[in-house]
Amino acid sequence: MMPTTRATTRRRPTDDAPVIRAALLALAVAIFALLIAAPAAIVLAGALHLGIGHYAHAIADPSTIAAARLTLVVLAYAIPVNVVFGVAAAWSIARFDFPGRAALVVALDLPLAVSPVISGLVFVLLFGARAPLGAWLIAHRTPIVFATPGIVLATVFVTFPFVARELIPAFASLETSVDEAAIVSGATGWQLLTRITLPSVRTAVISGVALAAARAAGEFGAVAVVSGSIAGRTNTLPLHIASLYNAGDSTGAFAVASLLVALALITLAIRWASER
Amino acid sequence: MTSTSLVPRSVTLHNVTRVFSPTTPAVAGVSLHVDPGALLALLGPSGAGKTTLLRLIAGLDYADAGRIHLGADDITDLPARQRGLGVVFQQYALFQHLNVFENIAFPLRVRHRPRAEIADRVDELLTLMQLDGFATRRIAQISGGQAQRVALARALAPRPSVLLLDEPFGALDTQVRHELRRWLAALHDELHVTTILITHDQEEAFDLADRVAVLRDGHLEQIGAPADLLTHPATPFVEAFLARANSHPHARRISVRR
Repeated sequence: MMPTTRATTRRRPTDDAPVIRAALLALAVAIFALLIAAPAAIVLAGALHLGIGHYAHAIADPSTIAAARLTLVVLAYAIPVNVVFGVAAAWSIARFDFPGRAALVVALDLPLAVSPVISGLVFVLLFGARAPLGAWLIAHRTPIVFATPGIVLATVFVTFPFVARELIPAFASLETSVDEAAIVSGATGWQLLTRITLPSVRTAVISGVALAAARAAGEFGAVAVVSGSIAGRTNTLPLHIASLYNAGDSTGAFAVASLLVALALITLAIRWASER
Repeated sequence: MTSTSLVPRSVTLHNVTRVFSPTTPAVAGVSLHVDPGALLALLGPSGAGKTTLLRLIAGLDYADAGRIHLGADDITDLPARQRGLGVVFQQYALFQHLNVFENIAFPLRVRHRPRAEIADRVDELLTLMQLDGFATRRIAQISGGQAQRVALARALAPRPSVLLLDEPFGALDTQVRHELRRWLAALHDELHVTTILITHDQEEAFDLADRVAVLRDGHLEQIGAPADLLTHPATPFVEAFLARANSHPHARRISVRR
């Protein structure tokens, strides 16, 4: 046997054959390039193809700025609500046994299983002008549907599983003896939560928040139903992109889309940094 | 707790009982006393109730009957965090997201001690535990023997009056066990903190303890100085249990301290 072939035949028994390794890697790279990298590049190219001036004009348009602001407002409400709900739900599911625990676990997946359009419709049916509750709220000058509160509610609904789902396995893997060590060390319940428990699951929280933020910023279906797409008032970034595109302004649509791509890259970067 | 040295206190149990299942109580009417600064070993086979008894003293579980005293104070109903005891858990239970320094500092941080005092105390303990230079290491980066000493340092940081050790050497290999045992004996002689140590290893109990309590099925079979237990075993169980120790190759070298 030639010495050069020795090294290649001497791979560990659990290693895959080089040809399988190369094939799988090539497939992954090809799918990534075709379905992710290429569209992202097309968005940027489309946004810039009429020149940087046109791009800046589309971004600085008052209706774009209003849409970006509304998206940030939605994020500012949805993320904290998600974190509080996610921590409470995940802690309950991971640590307590209570009637309805299994039902809660299933209910967590509901927003992922149901079409976002239906999630939006639920709020229209509940808070629309034809529903008693909606009529009462409109009479008291706090409309939910076709206004910011409805957009926030619909966004919270479609994003609430993300933080909880990341946290359940993280909480379940914490050892009781570590909590006990903190308690006998003199920690109060609050100190245990803020100094030991939450820092221990920091990566899972950040990961869940990043996913929820990405979904909240990009949500179209549920928000489209409740917002009514009033330009400058109830348009979020994704809705604004759709109206620009439908009006034939594809360069403007791509320009605004590049903002969402940038937001997605920021959340990915935060996730990546938290796992190192 | 501003004094520079810790003040050892006695531990007294009166008829302490803990029942998980009615037919076989985990701890059944155990009464015992540990003098201030003494080292008591709780010895017995698996399932004898050693850990349950230690958890009752630590306040991590509550007795169904009986009283527990720390010095003159009845601590039976006192929450664990107010008992001010040092506890070393079987698997150390260190805080993985904190480094060595912050693990040891934790009991002082939750007590809101001044920054400078915490730094001084942790440095002092790092030296005492022969962990100089390890302050910034992550818990995942230290060996089992070092983790054991970090756990001990964390337990000692707030100068507890009593130290509870649950199988402190259980997870370590024989070589490290023996080294740490000698070192713990020296440390106890120096600090004189009242210590209750769980072990199922007779040699370890006899080597370290002033007095040994033999437990079986939740009952206290006998408590006494190691020499007394060997010469006057109170029950056939104690005699048989210790006979196994005497057949051990190290048995001829059993040293009875003090």
